[in-house]
Amino acid sequence: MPVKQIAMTEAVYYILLSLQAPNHGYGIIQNTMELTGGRLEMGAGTLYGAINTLLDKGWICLYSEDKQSRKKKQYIITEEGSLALQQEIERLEELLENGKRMMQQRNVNAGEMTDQGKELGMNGKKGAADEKIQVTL
Amino acid sequence: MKKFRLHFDKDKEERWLNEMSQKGWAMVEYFAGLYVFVPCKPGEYTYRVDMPEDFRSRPSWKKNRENNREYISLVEETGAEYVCGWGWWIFFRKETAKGGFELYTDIESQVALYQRIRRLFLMLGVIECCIAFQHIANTILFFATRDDLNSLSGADMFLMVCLVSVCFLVAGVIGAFFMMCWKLTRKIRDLQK
Repeated sequence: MPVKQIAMTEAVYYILLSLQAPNHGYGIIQNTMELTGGRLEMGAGTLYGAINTLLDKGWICLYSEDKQSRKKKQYIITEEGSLALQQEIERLEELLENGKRMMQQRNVNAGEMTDQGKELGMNGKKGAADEKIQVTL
Repeated sequence: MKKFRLHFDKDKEERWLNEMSQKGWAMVEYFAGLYVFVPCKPGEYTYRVDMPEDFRSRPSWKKNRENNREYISLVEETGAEYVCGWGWWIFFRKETAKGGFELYTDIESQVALYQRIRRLFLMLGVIECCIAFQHIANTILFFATRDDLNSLSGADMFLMVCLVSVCFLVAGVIGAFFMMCWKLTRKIRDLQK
């Protein structure tokens, strides 16, 4: 079943990544911190809301529940969740490739323009290069 | 120390609680506008006011409590502590020395929180309107059945003053609820920009 393609929030993306293996709430926060080198410290409210949305969507499910200590509910990603994650990774790859290619092109163009500017003996080299970029883009 | 305050804006309430903590007063209990404070080191805690559950999504109170308990233990694992709860509201605090304390770290979840609160206020506002309607009908009935308002008995006079002042009170509460709904809508719009 094709999943409708909407950009995931960072929180959802990292929750799905963290649930490749069974994990509990706080484990997801820690795992995300580790993966992002401390950049993304997910708030408990954000995580809790996202977990409930993902449970409703069927992208994750309850893996185990420790009846003694209520807090140790473990979750794991489902088939459907894996599919959605795969699609998102492909979408992100496309974003990244396009971005890199366009930026590279821009740098090449800017280089060419600077050379031309030199030949023509122009003073505003940088200005001319910027103009060219606007035209080509 | 006890203080009575009616806060409709949870952000302002949060700011106020944090200011009180800065002044060396830590909130420990809340009930219907009554805040109880105990002395603490100035700035010892950071407070957060939260409404994690939508009032309509979990119809059963038992389920709601259980979900809340799960959520509370998650928040506690992040180094914060549960202070108290009232209705749909939960108060958390974290020792400032343990680092920053934010419950909602992305715009989507902040918007969702404001939307939950707005739904609650909207429902309360509508209920208040029903009560107000009933009350206004009573007040009109009162004036309609007394033909000579100049010669009212003491008891009637008292009843009239009560009816009219409740009218104003209810109107004020309705105004506050709908004002909050509008304010929340603005906050949501600002976040989404």
